[in-house]
Amino acid sequence: MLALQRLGDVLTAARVTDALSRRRSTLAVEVIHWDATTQAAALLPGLAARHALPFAALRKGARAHTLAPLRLLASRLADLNGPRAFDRVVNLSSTRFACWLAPALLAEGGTMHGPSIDAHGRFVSSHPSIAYLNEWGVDPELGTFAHQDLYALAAGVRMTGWGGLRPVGGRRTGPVVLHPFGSERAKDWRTPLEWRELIGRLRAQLGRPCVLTGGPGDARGLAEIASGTDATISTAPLSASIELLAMATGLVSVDTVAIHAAAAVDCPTVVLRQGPAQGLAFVPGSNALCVDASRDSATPEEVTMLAERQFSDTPAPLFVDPSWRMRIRVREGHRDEFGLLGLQQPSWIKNDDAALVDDESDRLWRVAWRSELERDTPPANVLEALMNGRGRFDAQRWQALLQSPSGLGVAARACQRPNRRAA
Amino acid sequence: MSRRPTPVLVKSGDSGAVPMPVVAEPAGGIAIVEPNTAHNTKQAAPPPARTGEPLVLWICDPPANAPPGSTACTPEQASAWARGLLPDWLQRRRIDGVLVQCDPTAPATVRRAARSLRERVTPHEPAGLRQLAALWGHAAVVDATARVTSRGAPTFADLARALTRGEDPESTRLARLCWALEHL
Repeated sequence: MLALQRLGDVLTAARVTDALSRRRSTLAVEVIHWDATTQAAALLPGLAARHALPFAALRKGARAHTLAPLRLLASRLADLNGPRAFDRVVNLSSTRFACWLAPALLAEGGTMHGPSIDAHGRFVSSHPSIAYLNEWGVDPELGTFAHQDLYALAAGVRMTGWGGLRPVGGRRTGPVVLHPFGSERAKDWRTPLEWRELIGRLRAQLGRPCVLTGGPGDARGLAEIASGTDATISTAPLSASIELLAMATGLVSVDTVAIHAAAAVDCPTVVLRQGPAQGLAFVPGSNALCVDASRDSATPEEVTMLAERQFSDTPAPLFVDPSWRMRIRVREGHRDEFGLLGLQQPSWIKNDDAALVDDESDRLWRVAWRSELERDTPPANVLEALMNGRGRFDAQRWQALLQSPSGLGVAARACQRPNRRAA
Repeated sequence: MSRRPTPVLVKSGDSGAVPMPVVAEPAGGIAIVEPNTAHNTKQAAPPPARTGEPLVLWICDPPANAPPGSTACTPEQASAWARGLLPDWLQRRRIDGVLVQCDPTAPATVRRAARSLRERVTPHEPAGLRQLAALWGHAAVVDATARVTSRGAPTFADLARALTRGEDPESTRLARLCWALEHL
């Protein structure tokens, strides 16, 4: 299995490694990852071996001359391929590097799952879910599936019935965990001062101690936020963070590895999403409340109000100010009857009917695309509903679909024609 | 993870000098190095451990200023190597990639020494790459580099195309790796 991405993406491969390793026909599952994501790869269940490729050394070698990284990569692959290579290669990364590399790991007559590039440089999707991912990408307006689900479908993994890395249930009595820093500054939420204010509010409202987490490189920034509060700081490795999240009351985090770690141990999470983090592609799990910044990001007071409900077993109803909808979008993760992740308005938000229209639109788009993923014909009434949809993204989704070479695109164009004639 | 002490090259003035790992105490992320004179330079010392990964030669004086993970080299030594023969160990390491670096704010003499050694160890045209391919000794790569006709330093795409023209399966596999590296 190729998981050549960031820490969080590698963690989302847990469902796939677990499922594949439990199959009777599987001799062993091995994962190839970048050396910088060793901590996440170490948490993946069911693995017989993990192989770290040296990202920095390959990049460094490329600065010297072309043969240096070629020799290094070839020797690492010779070591991990052994005399026979692999019967099945599951690629969970859409980078061109991974798409070129994946077939080099296949034994003769082996099967490729996930995206790859053939010897003539042509993209090969191997499954309609990857064709969808390639065509629609992770566009926050167009996409209606979590990208981790699309990769899992391509790997042939059943989407229902995975319990995560730990048995779920039991009362959560641990601290409130806050994770302020991600890998990109564009994903940051507000200022250190406002994080400090949030700590004060959460402490007062929930009565639990707060722990600030991050990587070793974040220590100074975390100390700045923690100053003047009674919050503690943890820059412990990912395995220790998983233990902390397994007992934590909840997590408030930007879009980074912490939210995927929380999803793997069913920890209730408030995800503060800005910039490229929005949309349905990056939903970590069904226990996450995604707070998307629109014109502005949520205030510390609003985040506290949301966290209080998200971390509670019996959340109090919330009647939102109508101006909210212009600034932020609040939705919780859920898995539909097919086990696919989506986002919907939490049941405790009471007065936002427009959000319900958007949720129904997302649901119908998933129904339509699922028929394509199952190589089936989409129900005619669903296509009609999408063509006339009133959801916030229905118009651009329909226009994009009319250009799509997929079977669903063909069906959409056929649906459009009689309507035009009638008009 | 503990950090290994930075190996340091012995100042000998001899262009064939072998690098001398020197006892170092990590402090604040930078290795403090004992003066080279404390060591018996007649005793053969191992070159920097070979891992298949690129070697970073850091040109500085004193050698203790080299950042962790790099191999320190004095400007005098770098200039001597740039003008004359490269020592065997460094010649062998060229196939793994040798990056010659220095502090961008270092004196002009240091920057000049780094630049001239960099010119010496980095191949800039197909002929240089053919030399390195011979050093690697991989038949498919030797054949492919003989077919590369680019004007400047060959790119991964140049090498991939040349490998694709080889008909054995190993050339095809290496061409695929080149295309992958083109997109790293």
